[in-house]
Amino acid sequence: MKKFLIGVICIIPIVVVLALSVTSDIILLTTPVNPSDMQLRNSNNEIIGDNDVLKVDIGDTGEFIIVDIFPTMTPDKSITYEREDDYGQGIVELEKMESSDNRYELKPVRAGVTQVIIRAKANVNVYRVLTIQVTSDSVETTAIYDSNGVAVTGEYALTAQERFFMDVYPVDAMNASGVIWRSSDSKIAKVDANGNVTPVGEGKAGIEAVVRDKAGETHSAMIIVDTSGAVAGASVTYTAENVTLSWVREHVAINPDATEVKYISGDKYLLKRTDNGAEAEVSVVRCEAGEIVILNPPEVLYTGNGPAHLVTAVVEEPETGDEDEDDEKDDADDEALEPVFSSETPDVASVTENGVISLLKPGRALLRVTYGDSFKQVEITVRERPATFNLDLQTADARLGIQMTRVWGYYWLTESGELTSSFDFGIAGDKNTFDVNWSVSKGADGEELASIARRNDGTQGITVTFLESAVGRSVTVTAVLVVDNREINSVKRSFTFNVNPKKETVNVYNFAQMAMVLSRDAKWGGGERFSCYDVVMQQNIYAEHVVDNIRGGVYGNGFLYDGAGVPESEEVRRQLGFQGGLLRFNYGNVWQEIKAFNESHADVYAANAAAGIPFTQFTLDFVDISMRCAATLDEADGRNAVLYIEMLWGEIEPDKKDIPRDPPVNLKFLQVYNADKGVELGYISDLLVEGCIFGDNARHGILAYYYGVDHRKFGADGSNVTLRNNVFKMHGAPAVVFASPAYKESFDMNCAPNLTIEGVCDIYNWKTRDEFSDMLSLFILKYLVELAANESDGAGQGLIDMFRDSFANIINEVVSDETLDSLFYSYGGKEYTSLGIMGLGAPLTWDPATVTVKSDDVSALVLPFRDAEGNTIGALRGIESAVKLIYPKISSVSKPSYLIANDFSRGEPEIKPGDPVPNSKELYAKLTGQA
Amino acid sequence: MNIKTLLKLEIKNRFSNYSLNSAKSYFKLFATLVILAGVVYGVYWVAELFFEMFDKAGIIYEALVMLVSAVFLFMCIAGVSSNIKVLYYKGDNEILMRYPVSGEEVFISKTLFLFINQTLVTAVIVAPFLAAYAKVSGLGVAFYATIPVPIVFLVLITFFLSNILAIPIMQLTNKIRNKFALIIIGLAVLVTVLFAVYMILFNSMVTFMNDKEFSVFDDRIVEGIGNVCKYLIPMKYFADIMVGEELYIAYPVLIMLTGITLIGTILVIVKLYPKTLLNNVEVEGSAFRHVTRNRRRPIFFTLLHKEFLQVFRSVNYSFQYFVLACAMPVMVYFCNNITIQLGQNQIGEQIALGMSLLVMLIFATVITSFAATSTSREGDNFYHTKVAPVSVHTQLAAKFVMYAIVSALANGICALVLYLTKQFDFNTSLWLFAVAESCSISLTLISMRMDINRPYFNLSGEGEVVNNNASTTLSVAAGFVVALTEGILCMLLSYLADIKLAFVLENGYIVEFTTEIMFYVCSGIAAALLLIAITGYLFRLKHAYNKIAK
Repeated sequence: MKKFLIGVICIIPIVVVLALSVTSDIILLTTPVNPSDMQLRNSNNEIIGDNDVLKVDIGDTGEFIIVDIFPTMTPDKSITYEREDDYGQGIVELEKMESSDNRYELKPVRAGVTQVIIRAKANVNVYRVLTIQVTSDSVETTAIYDSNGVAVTGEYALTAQERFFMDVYPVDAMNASGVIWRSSDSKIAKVDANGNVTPVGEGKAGIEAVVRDKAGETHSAMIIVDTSGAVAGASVTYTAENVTLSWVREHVAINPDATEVKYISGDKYLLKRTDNGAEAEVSVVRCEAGEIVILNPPEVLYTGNGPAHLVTAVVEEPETGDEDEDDEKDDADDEALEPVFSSETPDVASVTENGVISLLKPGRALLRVTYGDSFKQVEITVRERPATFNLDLQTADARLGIQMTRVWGYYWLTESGELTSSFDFGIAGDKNTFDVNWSVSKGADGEELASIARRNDGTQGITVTFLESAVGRSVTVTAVLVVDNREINSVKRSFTFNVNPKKETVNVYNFAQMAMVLSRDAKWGGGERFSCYDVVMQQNIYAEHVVDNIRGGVYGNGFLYDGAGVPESEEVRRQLGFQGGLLRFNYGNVWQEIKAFNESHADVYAANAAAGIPFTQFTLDFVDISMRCAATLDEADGRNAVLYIEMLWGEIEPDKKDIPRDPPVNLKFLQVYNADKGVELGYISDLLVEGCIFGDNARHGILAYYYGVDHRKFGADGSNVTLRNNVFKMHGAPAVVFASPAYKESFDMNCAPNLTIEGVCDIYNWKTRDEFSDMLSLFILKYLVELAANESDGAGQGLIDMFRDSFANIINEVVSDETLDSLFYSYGGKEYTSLGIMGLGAPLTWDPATVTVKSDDVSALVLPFRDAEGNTIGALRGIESAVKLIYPKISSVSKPSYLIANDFSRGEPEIKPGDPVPNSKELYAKLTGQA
Repeated sequence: MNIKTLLKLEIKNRFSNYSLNSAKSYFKLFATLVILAGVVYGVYWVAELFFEMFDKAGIIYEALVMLVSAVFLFMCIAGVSSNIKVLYYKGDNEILMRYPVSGEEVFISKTLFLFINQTLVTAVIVAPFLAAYAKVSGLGVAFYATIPVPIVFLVLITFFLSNILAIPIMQLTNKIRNKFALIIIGLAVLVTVLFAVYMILFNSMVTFMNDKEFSVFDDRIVEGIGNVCKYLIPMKYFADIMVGEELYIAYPVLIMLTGITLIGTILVIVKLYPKTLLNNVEVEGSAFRHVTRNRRRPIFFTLLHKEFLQVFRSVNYSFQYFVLACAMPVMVYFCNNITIQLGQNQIGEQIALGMSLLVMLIFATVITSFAATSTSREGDNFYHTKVAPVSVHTQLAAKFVMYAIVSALANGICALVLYLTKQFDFNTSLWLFAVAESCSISLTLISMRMDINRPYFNLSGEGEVVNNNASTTLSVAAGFVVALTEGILCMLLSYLADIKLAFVLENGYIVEFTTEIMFYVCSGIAAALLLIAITGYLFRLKHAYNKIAK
């Protein structure tokens, strides 16, 4: 028994793993699985973090990365990648290895740093940013710079001691010896190991910097220093002699006869050439003879920039005349004494017995040279020379949402709720270990767009203040690494702020800010201050309440506006229930504000129109937002829409004559899901729905209603609706519905908006023929009964129940008509239609001329409620008679109803019924019209 | 001659189920061999993976040393155990000592049987590992040629060593035999530790299986294993001989060790065996001398107490029940931790709850399977239960209550551990407990009823049920089915709820998978199972019980 039980325990984990496998197989049978997460590993199986830099040598052939797509049961684990061309000079290609399904070979093309964004093909929102440094053993370029960071070539007039630097690219290709400096004529100019060039005499000398790369090749750069006009030699002279002005002239001046010396203070003297006026300030330091000194110690050194040197000298005895004797004594001392170098901060910098300094990490290095009983110390600031760095915002942060872009408002809110156009920006994870120079781009005409100021808070961070001229333009802020006062252009990062064309836009980061700016209701703290301001979301915003009386639009940058956290309350139920929405716009309440805004901006609009900036009227824009009412579709019950807009449609009643035509509404690149109706629009005048994904929603994606509207409002100047490049996913009823149920006058006059469908129109709102029939019958019946009862939603349920079965049979006949066959797609033994846009005629009149389909994806078909002769089909005649009796204004219930749906006679759908719609790059390309 | 006869007797005794004249026996033998072949192949497959895993880390030799060490320890423990059982405690000793044979002859015959047995077991266990090692290391034929030598050493040394150790260990176990709580705690700790090691190894092997390009051990572990293996003496010498390393040390050491242990064994035979055997025969069955005061308790509590003592005072039963129940929360924690990680990678975080439910239910199955011997365990006392002046229902209810208390404690602690380690919130942990306990009660009732329908009484020795029977196997199988059903459904529905999978009903309404649906479905299944189990258990219970005849 014991053995049996031990055996059972041993197989438990095996059983669990098998259960896991079975579960994943069942899930895959139930629904295709899309990637939800990604992890990168290097060829040593180490996880690559977001801020890690992967090094690969230009000559490496076997280097690879492993891209793990989670969950691992995902069938499509393929990836795409984009290389950031502006990131650095490196180039690396990724190539899938044949032997594996998750390994990608790194094929370095050019040395330098580069960055790639790796995305899961089946879900472009799953991505990782990979920074790669392509190292090389070969130095590509060398150049000499002066101490101001200016490149020096050819001849250089040297007036006093000056330090030069050699820039090597790529710096990691330099061998451990670093740069070796030499002078062609040490009687004219001397150069020490750190590149300090000291004039010795008048004339010209070549100063050459030589570096050997790891491949063994030697590279050099040379300048000619002209010391003809030089004033002084070393900038600091150490001596044991008595220092007088004449001593200084004799020992420090290059041409004592043509040099005047002035004492300044302390050990400082000013030397001036009388022949050319050149000046130099030098120090003459009095020391004991035999004392060791450190010559020209560097103040700042950099890690990753090659070694530096401690150059020392022993102060000579004053000249006494017994030079031979002294020399012998000195020689004997020299043999006995050698400087001993050491580091007091070995974790920051180490120093060899020859005085070669290796920099290990940023900090303060304290180096010591001991000579006999005495020693000298020098403190050096060690900074970093990173291969790369990142800004607070990276390129990937600018590729958000469906458009893969990011816009910025002109304003931010301060903690006290005031507007400011200043924004704090800096280096990601800034520990202030290296130096950068910041710059900001200008307009094409050289106009200043923004100013920058260092925050001086112990980081390299800056405050960017956008000027009014930045509105509608792109402002690029750039940080470039600085080493030895020179900018390393190969290590440079930029971020571009695309500032919205409308100045009155505020970047918001939380619900309080959003409500404050958008709503005119005083309880949110905004009120009149933010009249007609738009908001730009800069992160996900979790709604805490319905925001009523909004008077501006929202730019979402792909972030989520989440209504899942809006608590249930009587007030919320009222605002979010019937004709409700998370964001509610009622033109009747805010038209005065909008009118005033338009009037005050007339000159701005005119200027923009002239400049081609697309902000020439007030428009209500909702752009690139992911919006949901609830965490799940089930919880969306009672939560009508994410967005509710009610217009006036240019009411012409006498007391409202001054109301201008309703502002155009643009719904662009929205993702609307987990709502009852997605977006509900009342009396809309001009609507553009572009690049949006609607679904899953309980009933519709868009419901546009025109209850009780004067029929004259329809027609050429009536409601204009354009649907362009949209995708509709699962909905309980047609994805888009135009409804005019309580028509005021005649049922025989057109009541349809001018509907145009352009570009992509993918509808994945799958219904079987039976489901379609049942849904349609219920839809029409409810509609008819509500008309007959002249009541609003929910009326006449008894009548509906009474007629439901008989009516279903009639509609079944309609749906089975062969003219509709092209709307059905056979899959898995069932026939499916993708129920798209419904224009319900029946008792109402849809003018066929109002529907324009410019899309190859869909067809507008008339539901055959009438036979070839134009008579109401037999089964419907009885109902028609009954309806006419109850509601005499209705002349017929068989007027053309339009169903706009995917036409499968043109080909199979890309995504089959029941399959999820992946957030693939292809989909986004379709939505943005780039497919 | 006597030794040969005694050996034949021993073999005949061991294989009494087989007859050369019975076709059924041949079929049984064939089936056994097929299963054995399957097991050997399975072990070979695992062994190959095991060695590949260590080979990738560059420590395949160390893996061999560890394997040989494990086999060495196992054979010593198994050898000591077999020695104690066969040489000292076996029921036929009383009879054999009355035969006209000497004690030495009995010892040698039994020893030979044990030796043959040990050699065969060793060969079966070690062969697939060594074959796998040869394949992975690429040693091939050269390696096979060297195998028999260390195997012989291994068998001889462990056998002799276990002979020497048998008497002191037997004395030690006799001393702690009545310290039941200590034994339970000790065994629970041992089981937990071994399971933890097993799970770590299992996890490593699964990780390795997913990507064989990389070692699953980091440098620190590799270094640690290397250091430990240096000191695994004398075990490393067996491995050295196999791979032809340091033969000049390995051979002398092993030969010397064989000699020493052989001398020790001979001394034991001559000096201690007959004496110990006689002593054991005299004291056997009267080891427990603890006198307890008579107490008056309510009948139900008396029955419950009796049931408890029946399990508590048997090392066998304690292991099967209390030890596993005590170890269960920790084993669940380990298993859960590792498998949830695997599941999260494979499917997603959504499966965590289902995985925990699956693991909890599987472990609960192991302890509830004990109920499948509830009646059989009565053994010789069974007829007392029939004539006792207490109804059968009450007697069975007492057994059931004890099982329910133990399973509730085990499941409760499991849920508490999951809550305290912040794997789940309080309500979810409570739900896990409720479902697991409900299923445990159902399985307990099903197991009890299975045993009542087909009890297996052990009529030899002390009457303890030491071998698993069909009821136990079926109980475990039923438990696995329940656990897999609940676990897979919970994982599946949690996942579908998370991705908000929805379907459209014919009336146009959308039905969406939600977490609530998952909770309802899993709770519903548990409730339905409980209802079925209670009904099935009570259906003609007394009739079924009264039908039992030994």
